[in-house]
Amino acid sequence: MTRRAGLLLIVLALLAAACGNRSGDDDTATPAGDSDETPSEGSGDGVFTTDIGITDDTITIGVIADLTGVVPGLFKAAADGVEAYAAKTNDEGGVNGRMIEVVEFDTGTNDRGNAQAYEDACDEVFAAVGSESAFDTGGFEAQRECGFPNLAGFLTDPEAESLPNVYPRTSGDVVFVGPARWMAEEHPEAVENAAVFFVNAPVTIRSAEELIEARESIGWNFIYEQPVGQLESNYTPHVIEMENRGVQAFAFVADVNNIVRLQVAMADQNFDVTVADVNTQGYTPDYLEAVGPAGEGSYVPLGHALFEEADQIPAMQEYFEWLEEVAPGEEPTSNGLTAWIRAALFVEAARAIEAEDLTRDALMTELDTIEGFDAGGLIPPDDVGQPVPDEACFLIAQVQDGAYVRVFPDEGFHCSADDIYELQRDG
Amino acid sequence: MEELIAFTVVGVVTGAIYAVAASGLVLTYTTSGVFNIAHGAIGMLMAFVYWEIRFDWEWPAPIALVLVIGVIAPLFGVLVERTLARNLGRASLVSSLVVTIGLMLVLMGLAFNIWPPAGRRVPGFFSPGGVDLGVIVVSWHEVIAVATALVVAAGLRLLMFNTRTGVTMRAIVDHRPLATLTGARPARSSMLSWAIGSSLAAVAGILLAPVLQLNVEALTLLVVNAYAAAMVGRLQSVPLTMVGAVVLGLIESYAVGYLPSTGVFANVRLAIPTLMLFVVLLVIPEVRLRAGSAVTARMPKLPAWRRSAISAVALVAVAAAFTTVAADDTIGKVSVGLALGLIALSLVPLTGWAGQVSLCQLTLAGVGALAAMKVATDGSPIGLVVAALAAGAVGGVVALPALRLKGLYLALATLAFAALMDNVVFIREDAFGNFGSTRVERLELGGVSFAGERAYFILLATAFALVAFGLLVLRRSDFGRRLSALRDAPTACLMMGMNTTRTKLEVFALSSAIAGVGGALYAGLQNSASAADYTMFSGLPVVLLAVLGGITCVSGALVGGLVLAGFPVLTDSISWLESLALLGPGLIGITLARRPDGLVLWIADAWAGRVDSRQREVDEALPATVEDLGLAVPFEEAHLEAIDRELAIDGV
Repeated sequence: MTRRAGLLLIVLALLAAACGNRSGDDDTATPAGDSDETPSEGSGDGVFTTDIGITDDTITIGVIADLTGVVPGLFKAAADGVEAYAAKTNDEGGVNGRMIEVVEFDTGTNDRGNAQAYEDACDEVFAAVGSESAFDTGGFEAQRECGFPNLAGFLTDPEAESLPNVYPRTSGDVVFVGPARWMAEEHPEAVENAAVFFVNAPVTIRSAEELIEARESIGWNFIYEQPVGQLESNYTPHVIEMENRGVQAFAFVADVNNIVRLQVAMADQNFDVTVADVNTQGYTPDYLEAVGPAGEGSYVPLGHALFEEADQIPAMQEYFEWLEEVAPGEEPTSNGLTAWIRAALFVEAARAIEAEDLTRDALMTELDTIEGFDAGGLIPPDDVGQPVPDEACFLIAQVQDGAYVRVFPDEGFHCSADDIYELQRDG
Repeated sequence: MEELIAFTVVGVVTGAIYAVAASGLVLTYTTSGVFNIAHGAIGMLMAFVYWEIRFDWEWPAPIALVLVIGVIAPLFGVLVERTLARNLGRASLVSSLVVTIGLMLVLMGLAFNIWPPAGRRVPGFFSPGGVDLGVIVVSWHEVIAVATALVVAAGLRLLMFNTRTGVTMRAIVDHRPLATLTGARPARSSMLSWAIGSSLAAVAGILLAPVLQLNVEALTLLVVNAYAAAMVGRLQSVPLTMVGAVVLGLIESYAVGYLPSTGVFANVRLAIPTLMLFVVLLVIPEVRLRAGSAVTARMPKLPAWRRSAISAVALVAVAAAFTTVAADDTIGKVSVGLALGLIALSLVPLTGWAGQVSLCQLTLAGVGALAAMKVATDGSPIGLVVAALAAGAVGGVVALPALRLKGLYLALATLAFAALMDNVVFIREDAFGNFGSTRVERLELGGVSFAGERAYFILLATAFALVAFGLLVLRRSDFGRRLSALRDAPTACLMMGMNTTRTKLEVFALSSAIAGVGGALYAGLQNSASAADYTMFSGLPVVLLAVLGGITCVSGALVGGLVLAGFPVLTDSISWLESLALLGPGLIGITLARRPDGLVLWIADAWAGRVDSRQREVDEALPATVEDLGLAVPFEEAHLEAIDRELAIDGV
């Protein structure tokens, strides 16, 4: 009898879990993909309930991120960044009288979870803001069908990037070659003898092909192209081969772990290159900690301001302060800052719309008109609705004495129309 | 010439690290009879513990090393042996593999929870610095790795062949009752074996950490590369294992220098360890690795036709009812369980009924998804047909080694096949697309679309019910009886003139076709077919859940799938369970040592109040030992009864 009771309890617990979710859903149930539904009047005294996720006094936004799963907390920084900016905005009085509420949607770090997260977000929140996931191919259909504003931190699916409801608009047909051009101008001989490493996965292979094509157009010459496995047993043979071939520069399309492993193997062999491009992946305290002295001299190209220059940028100081407020002890990261910047973009657009007119469509119309958005100097000025900007901007930092130091330009960002390379190959 | 010398030195160094890892595997196998899939995970965990003590607490390296290798790792090994592995050597192959797979998942989950991904520097010993050979600098860490490999090889050889303890350990695995009669103590021997094995895993983990960095997955899975070396030594000879490890290291090193780095050669280079494992398994003479069957789970009583049909209809009805009360997100999560359950169902005829152990079912599901995606991304049912045909055909090819291999050899061959597919086929741009993932429309059948969550859930339940019913029909047939015979008495089958080759090929093809359909439906559920969904590593929990539910019964696959899918549902609703999400499947897996029949039969027994008697049957199935006869433990009434049963003395 006791065993039977135990078995029944387990079954009931599962049913309760299922039914519990259902009842939670009922509170916010709205047909998916119904973004054009007629704004209804609020149930309270106000008349400003204009769209999904909007009440008299709140705007609910969602951040879709890889929070649990095979790599727990992969993009938790995105959620923290959006939460931080929402807290700042609410502290300032909100958006035209409404407070911002943030709902975090966890993808579980997989395609299916991503799709479910976008479907839920479509039903429950006004807009997706600062979302970051490595599995947004799964959520593509949900994003497309829902059509709600998606101010994504980043998207890995190139087709998703080109959806009309995704902001800032970007194009997968161009590559920004500013940092590579600067390295070529500074070290012309080195980049003529370059190596490129990339993780042997379709997405990184594609990125590496684009990188090679774009850089070869500005003077780089790759004499060693090497795919590496996630279980690459030893990087030393690659170092020997680089040395034999006279490699003087390298770029890496991979995660930080692989970059660190190559650089540590190079240091063990006393082999150094003139140009070590560790890309934006290398801009984390984790990279500095793991690579140690082997990372000295590495170049880190960035599309946002340096954390190290926060004393000159009030907006960066605000990011630090509010991040500490909502996630004490968390380190600022590029991903977190990007999410913060998207939240800032959302607030700027939403504030420009009268409270009673705030709808998803109105927001997207407003976003299309925003020009020169720079989040208080955190990023170069951006025409949000323009897929291909007039100019590509960047700055370059270098690892010196275990810290990031700006090397170009002297201040702000360097922008040039010449640094936008249009890919030639099909697809 | 200088280049050749440099690559040779690097190859030897890499081989030395493989050798240490493989030696631990060989030792544990030789002395406990368990092929420990979690060996790499133990090494990974100990590498993190070493980092914590050495670099976070900043204790001196010698103290940290002694503490980890000499105290913590052996104690951990003893803990594992006492709680999980005791008697595992006498359990079926599937049980022992699944328990260690569960342990591996638990340890990985623990490491993720205790040490979330972050930058952690692990410099090598005496870094920087080393011996400059002119053509290459061999770091002190690498010198230590080579020296350690030599010491370990010599030490293990001495231990196993020149000490009474070692000989006893081997004797117990070889013939436990005989060894015990001569005074050997299996429990103590097994404990010692796991303690030393765990220490060797720690040594390998600590040596690998500066090379791989503190990365949970890499440190855990690199040991898979060492399987090839261990198989060169046929899981018995440490010197041959050393040779295998060095050969593997050399081939990998030369491949970087002399193989083209683009095109198909790039993929081949990355697949060298698994290619070597595959070749070694096929080429080396098969030796008797362990006693006992691949599967010992009992075959459930075959239900009557009518009951099977009613159960199938009931499953669809319950699924339909569930969709009326559950929210979409819950349905979505449970759907994952149904889809994975369908893939797990493919193991029932293959492993449960025919005794052929396969660790590549998710890979075959990936073949199905890939084939379906290539012919019909628009939801056409033709996709499902093609998925079954393609996966069935590939399964037939996988079966070719099975004609020669059995038991652990076959299991490892299928694992190597899965890894090969990961590195050579699924990785290609023309497989799952330029970004490793392609969108897939859900099935549309006769004008009825299954695009919605609820409709797709019912479709999955219907597919499961149909396949399960079909399998039960099959089990009643001549083919079903041949499968049972193949599992229970393969040699007798041959003697009676049964064409076991044909039977094996047929069951592999059938099982693969089921997995292929499951894979195609899984892709539809995900709305995308993605290489990441069908990896060798992701496939291990599928085997685990199939055994968890009950590898011999079709409902076991369903239960296993639902248990796996149930975790996210539970953790969503009960927040304090969240931290268990990563540990859950593994924790369930490691309990299987006590329940080899699986959950379904256990629940059936529990419901009927037969658990105690069933457990007694399991205990009785184990060979009697000297301890049971009163030489080492008190002679009790229960022992007398056991002896009476053994001697078939009834009522005396």
